[in-house]
Amino acid sequence: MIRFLGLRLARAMLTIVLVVTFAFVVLRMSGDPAMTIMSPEAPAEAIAAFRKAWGLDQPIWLQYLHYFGAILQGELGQSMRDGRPALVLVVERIPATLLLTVPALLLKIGLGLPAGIYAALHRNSLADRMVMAGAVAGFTVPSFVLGLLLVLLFAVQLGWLPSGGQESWRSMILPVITLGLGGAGILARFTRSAMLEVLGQPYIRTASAKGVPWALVVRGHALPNAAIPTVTIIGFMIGSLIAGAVVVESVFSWPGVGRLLVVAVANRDLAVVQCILLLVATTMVSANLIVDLLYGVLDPRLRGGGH
Amino acid sequence: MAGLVSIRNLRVRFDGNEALRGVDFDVARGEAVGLVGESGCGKSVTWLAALGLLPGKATITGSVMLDGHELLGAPASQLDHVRGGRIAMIFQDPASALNPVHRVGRQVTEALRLHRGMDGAAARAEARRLFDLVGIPDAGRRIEAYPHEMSGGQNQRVMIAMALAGQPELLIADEPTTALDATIQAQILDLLRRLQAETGMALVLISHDLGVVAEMCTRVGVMYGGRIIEEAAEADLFARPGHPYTQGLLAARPDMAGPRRRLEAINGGVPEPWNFPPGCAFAPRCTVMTAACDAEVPALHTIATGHRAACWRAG
Amino acid sequence: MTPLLEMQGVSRVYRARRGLFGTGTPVRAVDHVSLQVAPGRTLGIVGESGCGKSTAGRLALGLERPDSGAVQFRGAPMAAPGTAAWRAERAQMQLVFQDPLGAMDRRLTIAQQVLEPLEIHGIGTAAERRERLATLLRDVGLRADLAERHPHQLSGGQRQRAVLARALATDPALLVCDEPVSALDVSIQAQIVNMLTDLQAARGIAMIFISHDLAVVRLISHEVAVMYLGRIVEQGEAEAVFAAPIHPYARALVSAVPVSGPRRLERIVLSGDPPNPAQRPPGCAFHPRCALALARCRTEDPDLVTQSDGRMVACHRAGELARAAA
Repeated sequence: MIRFLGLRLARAMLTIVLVVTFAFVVLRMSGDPAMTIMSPEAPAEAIAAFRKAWGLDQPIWLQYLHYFGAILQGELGQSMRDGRPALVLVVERIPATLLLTVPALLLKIGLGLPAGIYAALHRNSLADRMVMAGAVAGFTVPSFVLGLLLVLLFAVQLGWLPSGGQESWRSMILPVITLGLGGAGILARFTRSAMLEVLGQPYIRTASAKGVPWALVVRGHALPNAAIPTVTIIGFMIGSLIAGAVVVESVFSWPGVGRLLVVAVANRDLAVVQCILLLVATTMVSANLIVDLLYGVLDPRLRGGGH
Repeated sequence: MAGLVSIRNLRVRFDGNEALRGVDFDVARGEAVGLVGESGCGKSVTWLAALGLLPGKATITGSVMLDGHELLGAPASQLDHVRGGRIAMIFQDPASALNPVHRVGRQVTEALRLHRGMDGAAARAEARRLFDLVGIPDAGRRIEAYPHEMSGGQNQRVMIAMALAGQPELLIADEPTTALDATIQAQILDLLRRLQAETGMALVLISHDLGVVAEMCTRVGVMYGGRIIEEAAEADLFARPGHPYTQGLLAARPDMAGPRRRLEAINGGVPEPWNFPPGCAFAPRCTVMTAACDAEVPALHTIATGHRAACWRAG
Repeated sequence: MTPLLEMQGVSRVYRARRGLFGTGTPVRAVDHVSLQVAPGRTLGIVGESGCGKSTAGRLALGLERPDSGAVQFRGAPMAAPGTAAWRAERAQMQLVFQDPLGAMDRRLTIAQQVLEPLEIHGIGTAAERRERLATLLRDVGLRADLAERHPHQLSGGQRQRAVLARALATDPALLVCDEPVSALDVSIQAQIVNMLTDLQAARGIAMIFISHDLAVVRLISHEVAVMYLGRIVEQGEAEAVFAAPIHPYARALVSAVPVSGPRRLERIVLSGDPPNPAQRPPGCAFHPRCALALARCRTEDPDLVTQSDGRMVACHRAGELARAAA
């Protein structure tokens, strides 16, 4: 078990390092921050001074070494735009993002799981077909389209809800629904196929054959088995709590991490972008780690390496 | 012997294809009766249909009476009481027939709670006793094991313990040893024989293996194409098979004793459900068929005392 | 008769890894096995799952390399895998196993699959191959019009016939059949068994027939080897071994076959499961389940010793058991 954990942790660290490295290289190759942050008409000396100040005049491998060394000391650099520490900039946006993504996650689970289970239990019924059609619509319609449609209907036409901003809890409703519906569709489809797979297993028939009432067969025998694959997808959703709202935050002008990312990328604010990516990679990897541990809890076959 | 289960004109249809075409079969209290036939003949479907264990898309008609009470169309609550409580069933592949995420002991105590109202320590003690009864060594510890931690033979013993938990009057064993090795098969058959003698429950043994049925049962039904085509006492069936299909099955089976002989294969294969002969289902493969065989389905009729066959030319 | 195939003291060791970095426990899947098959003869190998009978078959075919011991085909050592000589040998020996659907490519027609080995080994012109196809299909009893079908359009019995046609395409001298009829119904099984015996009679093919079904093995084999935990515990003429097995395991195995009517051997029900091959008991591996075990059996591993009737038995009490059986 210790060995298993150690190995998983090492792999998690490697994943984070790869993401950080990739982000670093791609960002440096895709444009010069000096040109974006300073105006292009700025004098050559000023641009050179800016480059020197931020170390952009050094060879890329040296920049990378400096950057990596700094990360190891917990130093994530300053925003090139306003000079504040990148980490502070990012962290102060997190609560706003979580305010959208956590309720959206609850919506995904609260809507997707029961819908998927219901559809599987009533396979090929009208309800099943409707749930599945809804699910497909939910995850094929891009979130900016869905977001704009919702804005059109509820904000512009009906005027019930605000179209953006962060004035009251009512501003949260549309972005949360936009975020939640797509995920709920994915989860419903996934849960349905996991349930169908399990319901076809011989042990389900065994449970019925020994007189377990159907409701208990579903609850006690089918769900614990169907939970095993479903946990993967929920883990992925938990992993995207921080960065899963980029598009929606932009559509609803919500001041969260996603919007910060869009702005920072546009401005070539390297330290901020890298800081966000590091954070995203870490949450994703941690969520995966938790999922792996959950497997062990849910599935006795994966416990204790003996067999 | 007093009747326990009586099946009449049982028909099952899946997506327009008939899997059972009118099965008539009786099981008396305490008897051991075998049901043989090749894959797709309907031997398992008969009992899954009787107990309401087929998927919802199956259309079932006919009658299955248990002690004078109709099971077909009975409300779920009544069926749940019958299943595991009066009629228990064990299956071919014990490893996949047990729930992988529950401990084996819990799967047995679940049946004890449902059918005998036992809980907690009493249920655990009874589960331990059942494990001992079915010959699982170190029962106290094995109760805590998961199915994947046990061998195929041990898992089938767990299935049997689970079946016994409800003190059933009838045990349906559907190919209980097909997935097991020869020496383990011998152990399980031995166990079933002993338990049947001790508890006095009736046993229906479903098998493709004529030898297994011959050893375990006093009466045998042979199925082909969704019907019982012959039914007799075990000794009669093997000594004087009446139906050409039964004769063919016996001749196609290699023996363990006597001179080695060339097997007599039955020509052709089982008819596809969508291409079913209008008369006797075996007619296209039969060496003694006549025009009458294609015209009408022969009914099961008595050809000797306690011996019935569904063939125009038998008896 | 000079053997076509001979295995001399062949062992194959697998490492059963425990955990991700666990050190492997050596598992002797096949342990010091010696076998011969003569042209036109059939050797049956019986035993329960995990006894090493399938591995023995793969070693005989040269699909696996022994860790020790030697396999000789036509009196010469097997060529090294991957070489041209090894590929040429492949045409001479073929494997047929239990699941014909798994053995076939679902996307190819029966004709394409049967002709494939001829194309691989560059045998014959296109016209000759078509002619060969017709002969092969007729030999295995498949209607010519089935040649253009795909595997899933055939029944289980027809598929096994198609697999056999493919195996026979290169005119092999040796056929290793691993549970070839186990997945088939009795009536179809008889068709395939008859066909195998007919083919052997017509072409003089040598066969190794691996099965857990003793009655089928008895019918088809001239000689038989009974395996337990990687070793041969009894070997001899098939009729003799099945009529009066000597080794206590062979007796239990033979007596476990369900029969109708009176049985010749008293039923011996063994206690317990076969042990894990990774934890082979010391002494005779069968002693924990043997009702006749002596103190000696717990410490001393019995050799395979030839008895007076030419049968070989690995049991300390073989002599007295043979006399009692006679």
